[in-house]
Amino acid sequence: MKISLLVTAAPADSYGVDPAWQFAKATLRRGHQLHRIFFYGDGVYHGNGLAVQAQNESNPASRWARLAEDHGTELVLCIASATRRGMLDNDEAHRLEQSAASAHPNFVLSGLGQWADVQLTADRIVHFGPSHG
Amino acid sequence: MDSSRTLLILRRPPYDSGRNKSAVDMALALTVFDIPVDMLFLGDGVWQLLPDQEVKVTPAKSMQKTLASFPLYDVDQLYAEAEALEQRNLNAASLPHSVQAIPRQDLGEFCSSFRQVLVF
Amino acid sequence: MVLHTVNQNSNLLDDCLTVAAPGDSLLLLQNGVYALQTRQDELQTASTSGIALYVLSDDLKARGLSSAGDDTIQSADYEDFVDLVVAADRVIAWH
Repeated sequence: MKISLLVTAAPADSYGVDPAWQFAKATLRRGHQLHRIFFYGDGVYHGNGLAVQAQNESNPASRWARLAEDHGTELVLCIASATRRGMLDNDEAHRLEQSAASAHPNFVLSGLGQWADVQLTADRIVHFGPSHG
Repeated sequence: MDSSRTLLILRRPPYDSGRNKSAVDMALALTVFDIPVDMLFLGDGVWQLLPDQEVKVTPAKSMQKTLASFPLYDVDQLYAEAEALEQRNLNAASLPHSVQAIPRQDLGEFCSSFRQVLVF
Repeated sequence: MVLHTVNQNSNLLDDCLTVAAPGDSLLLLQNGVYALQTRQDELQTASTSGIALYVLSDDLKARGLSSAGDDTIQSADYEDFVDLVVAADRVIAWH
């Protein structure tokens, strides 16, 4: 089955236990296709390639990036959410005249059209939102 | 049932968080891709429907102005929980955007008519 | 059939239970698992009305709680979560 995720919770939300990540891994273990993960609102911080974790913790962006490499999952940061939060890829950093790209290279910045496409094509959509506020 | 019909549920007062903006941006974007969108305001979300919200600080934009622009974008219909309006001394008829009130007991059936329901 | 997920112990649960219909499933996760301690009456009523209740065991254990002895609610791991998603027609995430 073709499953896609909408992530609007920031990664620090759950202090290491990230439900979207746990669910994504379980989806693949159960033999389903994880087609696209759309990071929206504060969810775009999952793509922060500059975040540095404490020694025994793994970087959320690197974890997602491995998933994309191993399983072909598309990682999309909503471009409007991302630029507002300083999550830029090389193209956007250049276009907006910022000094550095902050988004991990395995993430793509794109518009909400990518989400509309998910709504039209995914068999199931699961949304992971903030657990507070 | 329309294969893509989407309901966005808003439960927060205006300016409370980025959630409202996320919902509005998504509503407008989905309509661009011909996905029909309705919005349901639950609980404190109904505060967003009040007319005459004046925002002095730029670049904030009042929720009311945003909602008023929705017909231009084909956001089909705004719905509000009837009990939430009553508890807050609001009357659907006095709200500007032709909001349709739905009794709480009918919300289950109402939501079941959508292909996708996203809570913000 | 709809799978509802609830990740906070707040009036979110009330909105979810208002929309949920008999035959639906409800999975409590993250801080939503505290409802097992504080919202027993509502959960019992939901169960009686035909809503299948699940709790994410990792999140329960992480908070020092247990659902042992509670026969209205079933323990689920992340793979069970995936199976619930697949079995449902769609998912509504209350957050």
